[in-house]
Amino acid sequence: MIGIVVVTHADLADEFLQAAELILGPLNAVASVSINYEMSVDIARKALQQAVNKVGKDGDGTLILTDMFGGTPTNISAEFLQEGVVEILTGINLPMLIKGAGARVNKNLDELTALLKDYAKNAVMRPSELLRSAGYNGTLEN
Amino acid sequence: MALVLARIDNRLIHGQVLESWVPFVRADCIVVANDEIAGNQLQKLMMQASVPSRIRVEIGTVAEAIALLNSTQLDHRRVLLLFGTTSDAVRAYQGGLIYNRLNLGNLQANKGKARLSCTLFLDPADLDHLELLDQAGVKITARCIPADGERPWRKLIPASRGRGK
Repeated sequence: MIGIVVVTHADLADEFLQAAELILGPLNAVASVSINYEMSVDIARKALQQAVNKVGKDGDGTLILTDMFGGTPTNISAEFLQEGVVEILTGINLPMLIKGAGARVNKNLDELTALLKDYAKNAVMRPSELLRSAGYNGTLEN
Repeated sequence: MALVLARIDNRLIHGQVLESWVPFVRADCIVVANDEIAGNQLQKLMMQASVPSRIRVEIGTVAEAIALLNSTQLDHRRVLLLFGTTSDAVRAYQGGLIYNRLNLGNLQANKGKARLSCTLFLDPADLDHLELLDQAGVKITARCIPADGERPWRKLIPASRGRGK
């Protein structure tokens, strides 16, 4: 199975996993690396290396989900990029993680990464647009 | 129609239902039976929009759900039925919407209800409702998500409110 590593600033990564497991139950081959301000880049890189080794040990590849393009978690992750072996998606959201946990069973790493990139973007919704398209004025008068 | 899950969940359609229960029971139709949500356009629209288009969604009052599930409209569908309260579940059953098993998912409350598990808080009226359904032969179990163990509802209840109350 493709492994998933969530890497973020502060404790977001751990919390993302906790939120996903609240919905899906315990997940296999998923790890989190939370990078805090007191952590050196070296330590962070080692923690990420360990996580990638752990969740990717069966050879199906690892997808790293990071919080923000341009941030340290993404920059460190980029050192691990390797075609067919390690992929990265930035801008994690909960739909991306949940979909990834389920969709990885019957996809290869490249397919999974492509699917999640589109899926996560489409998961951003503006509820007032739903109202407008249903004939309301952006607010609800009951 | 196959009723693949009947569940009480005060959050109605939400993450656990969409991401865990729907694939687990392979549902292709979600029916919500709850008078309150039936009258709340915003919540209704948002829940409808959250469900993938291959899955049919019907959100209505308990009375509407009884009529729908007893019609031929959902023939060949695998239906996941959601109630918001124990009262919804009893009213539906007594109104002719028969189910053999009932799943207790989320019934959170802040105060005035006894905590039976981390997601279930019930008051005496809830217990009476469940007792009534149990007596009618409904197998009631608590299970928040498929990954959780399934526990018979009576096992959660303090001894003073056990069998033969």
